[in-house]
Amino acid sequence: MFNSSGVALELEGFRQRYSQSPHWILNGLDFKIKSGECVALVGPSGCGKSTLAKAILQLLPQGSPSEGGLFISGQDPRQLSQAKLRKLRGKSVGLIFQDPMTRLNPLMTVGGHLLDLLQAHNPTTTYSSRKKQAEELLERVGIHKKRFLAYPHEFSGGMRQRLGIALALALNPELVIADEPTTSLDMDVANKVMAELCSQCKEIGSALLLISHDLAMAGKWCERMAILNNGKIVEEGQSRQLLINPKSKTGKTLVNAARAREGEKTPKKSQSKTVLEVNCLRSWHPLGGMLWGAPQWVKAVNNVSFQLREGEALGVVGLSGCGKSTLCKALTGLTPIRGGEVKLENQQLLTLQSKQCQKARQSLQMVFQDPLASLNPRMTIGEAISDPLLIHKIANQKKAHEKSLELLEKVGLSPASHYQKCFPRELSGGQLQRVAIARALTLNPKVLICDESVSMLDAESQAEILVLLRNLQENLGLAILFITHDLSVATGFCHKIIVLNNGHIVEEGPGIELFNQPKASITRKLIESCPRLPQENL
Amino acid sequence: MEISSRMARWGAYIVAFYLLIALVTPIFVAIGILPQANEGLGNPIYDPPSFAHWCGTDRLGRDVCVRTLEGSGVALQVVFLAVTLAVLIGVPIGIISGYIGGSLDRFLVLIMDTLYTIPVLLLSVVLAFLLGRGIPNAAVALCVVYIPQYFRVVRNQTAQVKAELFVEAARSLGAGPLWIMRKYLLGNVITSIPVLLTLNAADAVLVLGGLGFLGLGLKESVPEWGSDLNMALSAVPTGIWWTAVYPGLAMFLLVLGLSFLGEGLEELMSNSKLISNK
Amino acid sequence: MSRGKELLRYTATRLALTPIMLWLIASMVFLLLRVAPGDPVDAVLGSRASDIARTALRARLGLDQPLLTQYLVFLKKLCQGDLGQGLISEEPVSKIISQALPATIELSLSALIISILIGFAVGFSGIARPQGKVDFWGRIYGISTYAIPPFWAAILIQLFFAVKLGWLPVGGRFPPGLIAPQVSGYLILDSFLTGNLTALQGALRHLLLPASTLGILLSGIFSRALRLNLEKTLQSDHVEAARSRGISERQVILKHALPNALLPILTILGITIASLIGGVLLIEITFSWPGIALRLQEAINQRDYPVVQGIVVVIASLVVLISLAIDLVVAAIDPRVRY
Repeated sequence: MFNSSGVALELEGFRQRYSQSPHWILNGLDFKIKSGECVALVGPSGCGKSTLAKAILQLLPQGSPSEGGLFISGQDPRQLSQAKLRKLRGKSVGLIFQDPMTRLNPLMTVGGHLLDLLQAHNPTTTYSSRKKQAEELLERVGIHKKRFLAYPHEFSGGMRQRLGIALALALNPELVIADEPTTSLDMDVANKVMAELCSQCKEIGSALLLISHDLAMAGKWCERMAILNNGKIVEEGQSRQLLINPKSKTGKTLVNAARAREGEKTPKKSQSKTVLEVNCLRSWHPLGGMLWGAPQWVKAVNNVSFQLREGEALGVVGLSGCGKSTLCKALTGLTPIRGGEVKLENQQLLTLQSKQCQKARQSLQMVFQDPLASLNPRMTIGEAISDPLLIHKIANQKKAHEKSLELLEKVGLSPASHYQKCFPRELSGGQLQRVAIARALTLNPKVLICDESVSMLDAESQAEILVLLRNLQENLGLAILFITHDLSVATGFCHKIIVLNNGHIVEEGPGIELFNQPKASITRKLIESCPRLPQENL
Repeated sequence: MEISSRMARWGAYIVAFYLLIALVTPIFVAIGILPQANEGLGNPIYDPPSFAHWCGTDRLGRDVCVRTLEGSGVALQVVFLAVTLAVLIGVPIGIISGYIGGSLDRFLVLIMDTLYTIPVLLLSVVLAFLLGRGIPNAAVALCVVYIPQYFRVVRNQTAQVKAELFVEAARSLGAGPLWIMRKYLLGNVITSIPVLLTLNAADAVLVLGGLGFLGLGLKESVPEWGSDLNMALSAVPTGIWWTAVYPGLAMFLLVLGLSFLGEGLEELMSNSKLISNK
Repeated sequence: MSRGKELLRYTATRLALTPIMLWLIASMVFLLLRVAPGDPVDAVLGSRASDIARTALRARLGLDQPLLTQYLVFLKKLCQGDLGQGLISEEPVSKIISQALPATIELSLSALIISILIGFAVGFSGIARPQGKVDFWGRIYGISTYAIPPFWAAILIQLFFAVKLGWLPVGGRFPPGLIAPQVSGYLILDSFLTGNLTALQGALRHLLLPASTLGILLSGIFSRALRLNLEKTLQSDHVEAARSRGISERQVILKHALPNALLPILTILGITIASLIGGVLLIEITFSWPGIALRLQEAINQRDYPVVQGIVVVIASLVVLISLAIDLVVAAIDPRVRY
C-alpha cells in the first residue's frame, strides 16, 4: 500500500512564510525521510520547527505563500483538490500535537474521536465494524476499551497523548509527525509515551518525524537527526555521531548547552556555618469530606529534615507529586506548616510573632519555575525588582530605583536603564529568569529557593542561568535550595542531593554517588527516565 | 480586526458629537438662537415640521427639535453619573470579595446574583418608583442596577488572577493583602472595565428611556426622550410621526455609538491580548 | 459513576440556593416598597379623606402593625401562595397576575422563537465568509437591533404597518367585536382547541406586530453570540486537530465546532430571558397588549403597592427558575465537571 519510491517525505528547497510578513520562516529546506525511518528534527526555539509540521499538512492560514518542492509519498499536497487533501491528512500523514488537552474535543467521548475519524475515511463500513476497530486501536495504545465512553477531561495527560497516538496511527499512515509530543508531560510518563509511539510506528512500518527541542530525548529515540536553524537544515547525520561530535555552529552550541546542564561532576564544598536547618517538617493538606469521621490528610511533606550551609547548593529531586513544591511553599510561608521546626539563622521561624517572622523571612527568597507568570504583567521590570523594598518600607522610591539598576547589572542585564523600563512580555525566558533572580536578591537574602527555576528554559538559557546562580553563590555566599525533577541538572549544580518520594526523604548524598550507585528504586527510575546524551567512551 | 477598529472609530465620533450637542445646546438656548424647551404656549400644537419648527411641535406646542437636542445632555448626565457610581462601588467590592474569598465572598455573590437575576428594567422601575423623580434619583436607581455587573466581572477575574503565580510570588516577598490588591490585582482586573462601562452606558440610555416611557425617572418638565416618546404614543394612531421619530432616533444613535465603541474596544483588546501572548 | 454524583451534588446545591434567592427577592421588594415615600392610603382615598376613614383602612390593610409583624405576615401568606389584595380593585393579586400572565407568555414565547430563527440565520450567514460583506452587515445588524429603543421600534412599526398601510391592528390582543374562546387563557392555543378559525386569525393578526418587533430586537443577541462563539471554536486547537485528521469541513463544523459553540449560547439564552422580560414590558405598553406589564404600569400609576409587589416577585421568581433550569441543562450536557 505504500508508494514504491520508498520516500515518505521529501523537501527540496522548501520555503514557507506567513502572508502578513515578508520574512521566510522556512528558507530553503532540503530534507528526506525514507519509509519506516525514525528522524528527529531539533533546533533552538523559534527556528521554524512547528511551522514545518503545519506546512506539510497545509494547516497554515490560507494564502500563506510557499515555494520549492514538497512531496508526501510522492504527492504535492499543494496541488491536491480539497477532497484528496482530506484523504492525505490522516491516511498518509498522522500528526501528534504538543498539548493533548486542547487538541481533543471536550464534548466528544474518547471512542467518539476514533469513530469520527474512521467514519470520515471509510464511510462505507458499518458502525459495528468501526466500533470494533476503534476498540482495538484503544487497546493497542494501552487504553482499556472500558474507557470508550470516557471524556478527554477525565484522562490524565499521558492517557490523552496515548489517545493522540491512536488517532494519528489509526489509518496506518506512511508518515507520523510528532510535534513536541512530551513537553507537557512528566518525565516518567514522557518516557513511556515515547516508547509506545516508537513501537507502534515500528509495528505498522510508519516513518516518524519527531520535532523536539530536547537533544537527549531525540537522540534516545531516533537513529537520524537534523538540526534546523533560521529556516534551514544546518546539520544532518546519525544521532550518536552528531551528538558526540557536532560539526555546525548551531550544533555545537546546542550540544554544549545540553552537556553543560547535565554537568558531569558534582562540585565540592568546604565546611561553613549552617544558615537553614529543617527538622521533621510536616505539611499536610486536609482532604475534603471532613464532616464525617476523622479528617483525612494528604501528607505532602512528612518528617523532612536537612541542613543548608552558607554557600552550599542542596538539590531536592523527585517525580511530580512527591512534595517538592509543598516543601518550597511551606518554607516561604505560602502553605501552613503542621509540625517540626525551621531554624533560619538561628531563629525559630515557627515560634516567632507574625511581624518578626515576616522580617526573618526576608532572608529567605524564592525563584519560581515560570518566570513570565511570576512577574506582574502590568509592572515594569524596574518596578518589579524594587517592589520588595517598598513592601517592607525599607527604601523610598528613589533609593529603590537605584537599587533596581544595581541589581539588574548584577544579574547581567545591561544596560540596566534600558531593561528597567521594559514590561515582562518584552523579554525572553532567560532574561526574565534573571529578573526574577534580581527580585529575589533585593532584600539581601541568605537562602535562595529555586523551584524548578530552569526547567522551562531552553538548554542554552538553562546553562547560562546555572552559571549566573553559581557566580552569585560564590560572590554573596548564598545558600541555594535547588528543587528539580531532573537528576542530571541537580548532579551538575548541587553539592548534595536529597531524593523525595511521597513526602519522605528516601535517599541523600552527593549527586555523582546517587548516579553511580542508586539505592532507592525511585532514584533508579529517575535515572532511567531521564535521557542523557551519548558519551564518547561508551 | 479592521472592522473592529473602524467600529470603535465611528462610535467615538458619534459619542463626541453628542457631547458637543450637550455642551452647545444650552448656550444656543441662552443666547436665543433656539427657543426654550418648555415654551409652547405661543405655538400651534402638533404642528408638522416646518421652517419655524424643524421637527414640528408636540401636544403642548413645544419645539420637538430643542427638546430632542437638550435630551442628549440630560441622558449623558444621568448615565455618566450612574455608571461612574456603579464602577466606584462595584469594583472595590468585587476585588475584596474575590481576593478574600470564604463566607464573605459567598454571601456577597448570593446577594449580587439575586440582584442580577431581576430584569434590569424591572429593578430600576421598582427603585425609581421609590426614589422619586430627578436626575440624582434616576442615577442612583440605575447605578444599583449596574453594580452587580461590575461586581461579577471584577470578582471572577480577581479569583482568576489571584491564582496566578505572580500573586503567589508577591506573597512570598512578604506583601500584605492590601498591597497585593492595590499593586498586583487592580491593574490586571480593570482591563475589562472600559468595555463594560461603554456597553453599560449604552444599556443605561435605553433603561433611562424605558423609565421615562413608563412615566418614571425624571421630572415631567425635563426634556427626556423616553417621556417625550410616551407622550407621542397617544398621537400615533392619528399618524403624527414627528413627535415619535426624532427623540427615538436621537436615542438610537447614541446607544448605537456607545455600543460600537464598546464592541470595537472589546475586540481590539482581545486582539492585542492574543498578539502579546504569542 | 462519579460524574453522576457530581451532577447530583451540583443540582442539589443549586436547588438549595433557589429558595434563599427567592426569599431575598421577596424581602427586598417588600422592604423597598415600605420605605417608599408616599402613603398608600392617600393613593386609595385621596389626600382629603377623613382621619377616621384613614385609620380604618390602615387597620384593614395591616399597616398599623409594626414593620416586622407586617413582614412576617407577608412571608407567611407568600408561602401559602397568597400575594394579598389590590388596593384599587380589591381583587386578590394572584388572580390579577394569573389572568394577565398567559398573554405575556404567549407574546414572549413567540418573540423568542422568531428571534432564534432570525438570529441563527444571520449568524450562520456571517461565518461562511468571515470579514466579508455579509459578515460585516450581519454584525452591524446585531448591534443595531440591540441599540434600538424597544418602544421606539414599536411606535415606528405601528406608524408604518398599522397606521400608514393599515395592514394590521395598532394594538390590543383580540378583535374587539369577537368573543374570545376561554380555555387556558392562551388565545392561539384556545382557538385551536375550539376550532375557531376566525378567532385564530384575529389573535394571530394582533400577535404578529408585537411578537416580530420584539423578536427582531432580540435576534441580534443570538446572531452575535453564534457568530463570535462559532468563530472562536473554529479557530480552536481541537478543530485544527480534527482538520489535520482529514475530517471533512462539514463534519468539523457540525460535530466539533457547533456543539462547543452552542453551549455558551444556551447560557446566554438564560440571561436573555431577563432582557426579554424588560423588552416585553415596554412592548406590551406600546401595543396595549393586556399582559402583566400593562397591569404593572397601571399599578405604578395608581400606587397600588400590593399589586406592584406581587408582580415583581412573580416575574423575578420566574426568571430565577428559568435560569436555574437552563444552568442545570447546561451542566447535564457539558461533560466537564464544575464546582
